[in-house]
Amino acid sequence: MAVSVGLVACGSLNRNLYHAETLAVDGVRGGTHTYNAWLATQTNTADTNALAKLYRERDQVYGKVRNFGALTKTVDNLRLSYATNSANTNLTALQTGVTALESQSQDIIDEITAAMSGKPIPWPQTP
Amino acid sequence: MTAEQLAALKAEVNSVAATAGGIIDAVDPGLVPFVVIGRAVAATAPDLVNDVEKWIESIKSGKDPTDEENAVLSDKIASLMHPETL
Repeated sequence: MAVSVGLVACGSLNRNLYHAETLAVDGVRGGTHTYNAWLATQTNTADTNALAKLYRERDQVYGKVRNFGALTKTVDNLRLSYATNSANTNLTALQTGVTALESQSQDIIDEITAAMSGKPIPWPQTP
Repeated sequence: MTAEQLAALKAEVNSVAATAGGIIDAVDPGLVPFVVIGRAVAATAPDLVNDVEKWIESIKSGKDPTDEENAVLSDKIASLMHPETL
């Protein structure tokens, strides 16, 4: 599932940023929901070694989702600050944050896709 | 998504838009990709099913998000801290 975010040159900036955030957040929530449903089927049938691998992957996915949540919270606070007092809000930081949301949301979707497809995941493997 | 699937999705969006009074034609062409993407994601992410048409209207309005909209987003962000519940 590809999620693309951009800031369109119409309407209020606050509204556009709100939709950019919403798109990224809903993408990650939807992907994580799908992953959780898949994981439940896998843990019902997996052997001990396979279970250990699944839980390791799960912990890494969840860690990235939480980090994404923390970043989104920061960006959303900046957006609300901008809406209240644009003169005292770092707009560059806000727009950079929204761009980072897109990157992180896509990264999470890619990792969930890789985990569910059984492909090698680009994260550190424990020895 | 393949090129054929994307083309079919665009056709569906335009078809729906025509039925809905050409809403897509009334919106900046730059927004059309977002509608297509929204439809594509909506097909796999239940949370987005009700969002696409609302996005078009809200962006056209140019109004800031309402307190209710901000509260909904805030709740969604909070839910990310508990991915096991999603």
